[in-house]
Amino acid sequence: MIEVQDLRKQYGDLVAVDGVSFTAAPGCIFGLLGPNGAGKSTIINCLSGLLPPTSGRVRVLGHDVVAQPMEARRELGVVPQELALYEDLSARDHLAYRGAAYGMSGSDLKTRVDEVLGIIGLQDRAREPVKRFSGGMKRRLNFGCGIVHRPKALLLDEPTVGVDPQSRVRLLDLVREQVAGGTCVLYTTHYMEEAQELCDRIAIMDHGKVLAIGTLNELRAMLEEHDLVRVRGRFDPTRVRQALASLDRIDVVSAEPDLVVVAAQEASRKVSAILAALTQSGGEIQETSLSQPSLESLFIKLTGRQLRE
Amino acid sequence: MQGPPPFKRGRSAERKKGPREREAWRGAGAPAIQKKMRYLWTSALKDTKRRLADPAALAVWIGLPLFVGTLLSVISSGGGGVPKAHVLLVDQDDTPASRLVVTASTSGRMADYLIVERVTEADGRRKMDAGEASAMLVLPKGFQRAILDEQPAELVLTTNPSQRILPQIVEEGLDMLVEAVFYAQQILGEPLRRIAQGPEGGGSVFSSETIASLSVDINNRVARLQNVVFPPVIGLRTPSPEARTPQTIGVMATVMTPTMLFMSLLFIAQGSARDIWQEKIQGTLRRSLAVPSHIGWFLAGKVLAGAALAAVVTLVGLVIVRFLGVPLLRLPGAFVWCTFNGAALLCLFNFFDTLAATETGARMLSTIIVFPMMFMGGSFFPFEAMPPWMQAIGRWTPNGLGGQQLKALLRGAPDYGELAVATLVIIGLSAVTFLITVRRVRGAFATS
Repeated sequence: MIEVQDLRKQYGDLVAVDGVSFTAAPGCIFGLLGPNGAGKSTIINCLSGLLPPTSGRVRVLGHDVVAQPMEARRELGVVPQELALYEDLSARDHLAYRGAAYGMSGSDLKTRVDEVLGIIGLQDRAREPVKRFSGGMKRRLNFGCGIVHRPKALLLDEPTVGVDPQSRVRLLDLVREQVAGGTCVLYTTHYMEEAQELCDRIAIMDHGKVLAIGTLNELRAMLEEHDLVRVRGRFDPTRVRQALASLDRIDVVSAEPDLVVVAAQEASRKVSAILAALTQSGGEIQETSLSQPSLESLFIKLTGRQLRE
Repeated sequence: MQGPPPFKRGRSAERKKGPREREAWRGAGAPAIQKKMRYLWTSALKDTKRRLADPAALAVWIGLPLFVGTLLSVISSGGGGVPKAHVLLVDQDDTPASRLVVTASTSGRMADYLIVERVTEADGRRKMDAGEASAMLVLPKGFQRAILDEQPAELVLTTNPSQRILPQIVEEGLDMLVEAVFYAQQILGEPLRRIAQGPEGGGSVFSSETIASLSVDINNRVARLQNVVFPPVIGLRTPSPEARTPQTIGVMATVMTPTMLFMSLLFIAQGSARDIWQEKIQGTLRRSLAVPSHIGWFLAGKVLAGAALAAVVTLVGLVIVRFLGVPLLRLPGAFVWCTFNGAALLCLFNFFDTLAATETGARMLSTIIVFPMMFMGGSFFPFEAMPPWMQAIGRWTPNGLGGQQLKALLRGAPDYGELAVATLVIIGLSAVTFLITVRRVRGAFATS
């Protein structure tokens, strides 16, 4: 179990993480979803002991990462965002080295290295230097290095960044396999589809704060089944807000000179009224889209902007 | 598929232990120091493998100093294997005694180091002004008379200020020659005086009796001294390499090669220290900070790998000095000393590299430091080629301290007091820089 209580990390005046609390349970994947700079990696760094928290408490399987760092690290596997690999070493060298770093040795280490090579599908290339690997193979090895010591808690910091779709599917399967074995996984991503597909519980973050937390269904409920209507064109934001205010049960999420986002229940039935109101306000419509409730809808509703902006 | 963790401390962990874990727990039961040593060893092995995967860098670290050393030797020796000094000799006396000095300086072992050219004083001065010779020796008028009358005689030696090593060789060689002349005068002064005064009665030919008397006198004097001055061992016995004196081993073995060896060690230290930045950039350093072993073991592994590399380069250097005549028995000490210094220099450069805020900054900083260290510390030009004030400073640089002791070890004449002081200073410096590096790597360096 990973417990984070009122975690705060501050660099001078900059607050990177501001009072974040959550609990990730064994056998579950807890997702931290947010744009770049939201504070996800800072949380991972605090959990793995790389950064001391300014305040708050972080525990891994009951071990406080500040008071009992070595005990906490022993239970923790870390798969960093960057490919933390040595280009000149082989996959077997990597796994053996990482295992030794966690105190493994002898036949146990050798057996486990073979086992992990099988899990990540690199038995055939085990002795080749990493520099000959494809991006996907490197990602898998990066993942393998994080699980070689059989951790009970696993931190995955955007492990699919820059990965081709096929390798991505394989990586997500590897994560699921770990969870099936009872591992507690903390997974950070800025891909909503990944979070929706993989995570049992999700915390949506922005600017160092948790904006919403819960299961996918709980988060969807926060949207009250609202659909999102996005209209691109040229608008006068003030006149747009005035025009849309006259429509019943419509929530203006954002009104920008080039984009208007509106949340509404059964929005498909209200699209014509919305477009008419925008035209009346003097706007010029170029493109319209309608999306069903999703994490992105929630993120937009919570922050007024898209996740990838 | 996911087994329990292999290592955990405390009673609660013991209670949870399952059959699958027993194998792993055997490892956990091993003493902590054993695990740490294993991690240190695997870290060193990992870095050594990475170094070996880059043979080009290895070749540069070993080859560049060899190239520079060879170049310097060629420049200072005029292309020959052994550097020779060009000496201009002005014989203003032109007597048998002065000709004896000329003959002595152009024969035997002196001839290995000196090329003597007889010139007039004016011609000699012109050549010295043009920098065409290492030194000019003037045998003044009255040289023979002074020797026979046991009066002080002054030989004037003018050296070329633009050269350092070769004029020193001339000075040392002539010192020996002057001593030889002095002893010849002390031992054979009386018969020589009789010869110089000429035949009795003002004739032009010595009588047979006089020649016989002089011969017997010289023979007796030499016979009396034979046990003291010419021990019987001299004879025809060829001295073994172990019996060679420091002077006979040569400048190349005891001066140039150690100098180049320390240049190599400096390059290795500078190049290996960059690895900390590589580890930081590729994220492996952060990953290593997240393991349940102190980062000090990881860094110690790097130092150990650097020491292994220094050992390999040292071996190459010592093979060369062995080839140049240094006795085998002197090499183990030199090997240990160089390897130790290689590790110490790596600690120092790791420290410098972690001071910088960026990789480019680290490169600049280490380059700014390495070249003055190399020049001042006698790892480019040997101390013997430096002005005294520079030697005084350079001898206290880390490589200067190490280099001096290496030369003493190779000459077979180490001062154990000085060696102990140098060892303590280098250990102290390494320990301090290593601990600061550990502290920096655990702090802002890795996470910034």
